[in-house]
Amino acid sequence: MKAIYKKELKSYFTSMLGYAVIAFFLLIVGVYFWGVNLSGGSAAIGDTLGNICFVYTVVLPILTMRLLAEEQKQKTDQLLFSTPVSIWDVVIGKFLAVVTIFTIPVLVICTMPLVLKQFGTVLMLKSYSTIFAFWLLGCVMLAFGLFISSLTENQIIAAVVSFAFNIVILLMASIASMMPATAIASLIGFTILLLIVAVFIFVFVRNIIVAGACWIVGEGALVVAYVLKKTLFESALEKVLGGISFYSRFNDFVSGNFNIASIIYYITFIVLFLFLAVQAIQKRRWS
Amino acid sequence: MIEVKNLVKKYGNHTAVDNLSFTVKDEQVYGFLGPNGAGKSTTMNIIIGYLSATEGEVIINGHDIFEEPEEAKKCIGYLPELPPLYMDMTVKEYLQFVAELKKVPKKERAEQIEKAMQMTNITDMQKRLIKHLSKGYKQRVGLAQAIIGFPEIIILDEPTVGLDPKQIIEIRDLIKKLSKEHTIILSSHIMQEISAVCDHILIINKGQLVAEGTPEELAEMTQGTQEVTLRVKAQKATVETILNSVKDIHRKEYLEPVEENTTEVVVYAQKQKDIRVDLFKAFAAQKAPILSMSSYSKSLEDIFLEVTEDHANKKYLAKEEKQTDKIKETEEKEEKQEESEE
Repeated sequence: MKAIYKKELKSYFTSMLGYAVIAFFLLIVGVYFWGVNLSGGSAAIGDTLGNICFVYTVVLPILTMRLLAEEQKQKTDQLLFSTPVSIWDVVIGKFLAVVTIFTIPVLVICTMPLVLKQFGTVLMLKSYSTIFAFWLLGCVMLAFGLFISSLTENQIIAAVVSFAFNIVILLMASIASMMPATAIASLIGFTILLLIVAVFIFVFVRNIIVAGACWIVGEGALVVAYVLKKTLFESALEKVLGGISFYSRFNDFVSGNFNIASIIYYITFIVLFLFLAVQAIQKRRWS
Repeated sequence: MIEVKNLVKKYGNHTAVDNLSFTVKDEQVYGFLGPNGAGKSTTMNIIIGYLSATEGEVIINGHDIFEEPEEAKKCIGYLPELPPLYMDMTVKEYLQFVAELKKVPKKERAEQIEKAMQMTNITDMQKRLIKHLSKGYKQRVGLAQAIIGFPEIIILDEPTVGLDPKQIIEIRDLIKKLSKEHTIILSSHIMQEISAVCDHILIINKGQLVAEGTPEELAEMTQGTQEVTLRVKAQKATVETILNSVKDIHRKEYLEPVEENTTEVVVYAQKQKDIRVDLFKAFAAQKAPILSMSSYSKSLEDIFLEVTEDHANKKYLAKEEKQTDKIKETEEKEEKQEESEE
């Protein structure tokens, strides 16, 4: 694991990618920090961070796209998996490397509350818990990008898919709030979501029966619930999407609410995506 | 020691490896021979644990590759068909990375890397980026990678592909040197290479083991054919009539004449009787002088072509009890084949 970690970290800096991404990220953060905090006169670093979450959708896929895809393309995975390192070692080593790169600009952000302190009172605990949540949110996105990178040997596809997913996550809460709140609309919304999940399952296991069965069971449960207790579905879509959205949970932190459940929620997703990445690699060995 | 038992690998409906079983004994060089797409690389990838098998087991020094992959992998060094190189690393960085992956103790790392670089003759290149190396050097770096850790078993998938003749000889020498302390499995579709370095040959076709044994054993099993190259000072037509009068010739093949007014011909015949005597007498009787005559027994190539041709169902397995029957069968088949050719 250590070997993979070191190698991966080094490759970010031999290829310039590391420098470029860090510089770009810091540029955006700097501009917003100046605009919102310094010029706008806000003492909360969360105001800046809440505004720059969109940077994740663009920057993080670029960091993760080549992690596993490139190994497959260059056939260097044959080296990794013919030596006594486990797939988990490889995945975790790579994840930690990309997290390290991503942590560098976050550390720079950590100095910003200190700067603000020069001009007045700053709620330090709130600032740093927000930064921590911001960092953890980034880690979830990185884990997802790593997973997508394990599915393909084409870096560009990996980047585009992660990008698309990130956009959906970013906009999920606001899309949900625009939906009509009636029960039937929620039912339709859930049906569409279920369909997306089923397609995902199909892509993953390549078995139409399994995917179909999952969809039918889920849809059946939805319809039964709808018939039995219609009130349950009123504005349910908005609640559910808002609830699972990574960003609406992050906004909790921005408003000063250190929510342990959200932290666990993020960590669960990190583990889940890493697990899926391992499974995707395992699957390739079998097919 | 590697034991492969009833290995099956299916890709959807396509069976790449079909019930393959063999044993690789210590400190020998095994040649893994087969036409393109016979399942050589797939088998090797399963042995080293890169791919999983649909059925069957692979046991390496007592460790099952599917059950205890880490223990099993410690005993193996592997050079895949395409050397697994990171282009933006220098040779030394790369080998250091490999040594770490293979969990070589820190104290021994520098020494082992040095030794591996010396053996593969890349010490001068250690500070170069791998992407700037030529194909031959890349191949050698790949080989150095397989050697690092000095595992008991070294598996090389087509190690000489794309190299020039001098480099091929160097790699062969290296393999011979390594074979004194390591078990080596070598795959190739080039027969000369296999016969030059291997103690033991496994020929597979369509995922099945079709021939196994030492080169001598295989030669004995098939009886082989003899091949005589003649240079005769006569016109092609004359040579043709003379050769037609000689019995037992299976096939002849005319080559480009090397000297003026001569005919160059290769004659193939069964091995039981030395055809050279008959040839000499026949040409002498017609007063056509033979300028040179050289004989070469090409049995391995023949075996290879026989067992790997389409619809072939011949097998030369050393353990087979009904060997003699099989040989007869083969001979009959050969004859039929030649009849149809004529």
